[in-house]
Amino acid sequence: MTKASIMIGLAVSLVVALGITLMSANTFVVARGSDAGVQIYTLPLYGKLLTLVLVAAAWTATAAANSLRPSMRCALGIAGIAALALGTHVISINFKRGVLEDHWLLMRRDRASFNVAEGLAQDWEVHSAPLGYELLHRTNGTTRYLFSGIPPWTLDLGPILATNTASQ
Amino acid sequence: MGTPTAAGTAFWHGVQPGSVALNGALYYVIMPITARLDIISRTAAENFTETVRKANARMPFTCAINGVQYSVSAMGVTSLALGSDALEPEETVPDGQVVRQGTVVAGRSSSNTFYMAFDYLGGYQFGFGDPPLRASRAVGGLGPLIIDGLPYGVGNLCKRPANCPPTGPVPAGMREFMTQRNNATYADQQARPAGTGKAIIATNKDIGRMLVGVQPHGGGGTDFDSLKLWLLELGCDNAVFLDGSDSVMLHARGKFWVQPAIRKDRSNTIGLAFYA
Repeated sequence: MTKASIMIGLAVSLVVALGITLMSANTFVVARGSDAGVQIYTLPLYGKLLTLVLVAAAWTATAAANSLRPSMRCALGIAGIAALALGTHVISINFKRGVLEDHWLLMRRDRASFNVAEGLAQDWEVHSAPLGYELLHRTNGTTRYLFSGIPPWTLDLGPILATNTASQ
Repeated sequence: MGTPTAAGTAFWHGVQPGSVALNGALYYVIMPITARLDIISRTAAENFTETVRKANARMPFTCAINGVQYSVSAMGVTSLALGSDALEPEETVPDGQVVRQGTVVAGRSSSNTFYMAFDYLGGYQFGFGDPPLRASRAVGGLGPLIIDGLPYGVGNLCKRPANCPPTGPVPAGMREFMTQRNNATYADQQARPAGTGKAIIATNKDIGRMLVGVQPHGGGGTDFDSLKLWLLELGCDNAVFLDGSDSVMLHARGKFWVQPAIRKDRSNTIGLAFYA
C-alpha cells in the first residue's frame, strides 16, 4: 500500500469514528425516535471526545510511525477500536418497547424484556457482578450479564437500576 | 375522587372555554367534555407543524397537541442525522395504536400502556391496554396519571389496614383500600428533571369539562407528582400523558404556543385535535 492510500484510510476511519461518537451522544438516534420514554446511560460528551482523541492518536501512530513493529501497530489499531467501542457504549431502558438495551458501536442488542407497566424489577433481580451486573429472571431463572465497561469508561448504572429494582 | 375542591370548581368555571391559559409553566386549554377528538396524521414528507397548520386551515380546531411516542426506522434515523428534510411518514411508527372509525390506521400494539378513546355516544373513555376498536377515535401508548379516579405513581399505596405490595398486582381484597397504583412509565417520567416537556389530557366528567395541557421542554415547570396533585384538586377523574420531552406541541386559537424541536418536527406523524 502506498503512503497516500494509508493516509486516506486513516482519514476515513477517523471520520467514521467521529460520526459514531456524535451519534452515540444523540438521544434521538439512541432511542430511534422519541426519547421521552427511554433512559439512556452513556459517557458524557466530553468523555467521548477525549476517547476519540486517544483513538485518533493510536490509529495515527499505527498508520504513520514507520519505526513501530508490526505487532505493535496491530495492537494499537485494536486498542483504538476497543476504546472507540467503550467510549460509545450505551445502555438504555426503553419504556417504549419494554426492553433493556445494550448498544455497541451504534448496534442495538436487546438484553432483557420487561413489562413497562410494572418495570424491570417485576421480572428481573439485578446483582452486581465483576465489571457489570447480572440480571436473574425471577420465574424462569434465566441470567443475563451486562458489561458496564472498564475504567475510565465504566457506566454507573446504579441510579438506573436502583430505580428499577425496588423491593418486591 | 372526582370531586373538586371549592377552588377546583372555581377553576373549571373561571376559565373561558377554548382560550389558552397558563398555570406555572403549563399552557392549558379548557373545553367542554363534549369536544370532539380527531387524529391529525401526517401523510406527506413535510414538517409536522406544517401538517397541523393545514389541518387547522381545513377545519379550525380548538386546540391540537402532539400524539404518542414513536419509533423511527434505521433509515429514517440516518436521514434525520445527515439530511435536513422531513422524513417520509412511512419511516415513523407510533408506539401505540391509532384508531379511526373502528380501524387501526397507524401504530403498533402497546398492550401494557394506556389508551384514550372517544366516541359520540360514550364520550371519553380511558383504560389499560390497546384502544378498543369500537371507538370513533382512539390512541394507545399513553402513560397514566389518574385512571377512573385512581391516581398512578411511584409504588403502590394503600390505606390501613391493607398492606399492599410496593409494586406489582394488588390482591383483590386490598383494592378497595388502594390510593395509588404503581406504574413504571410514570416512575420513569417522574425521575426526570421537572422542566422536561409534558403533554397531558384530563377530564372532569362531573363538571363536564376537559383540560389539554402542554409544558414546554427545558423552560422550568413541575414534575408529574405535582401535576397529578393539581389535577386531583381539580377533581379530574382521568388524566393521561402523551409523548414528552422536546416532542411537545400546542396549537390553539390559530397559533403555536409550544413548538417541537426540529428533529421531532421532521419525524412526528401523529397529533390530536379537539373541536369544541
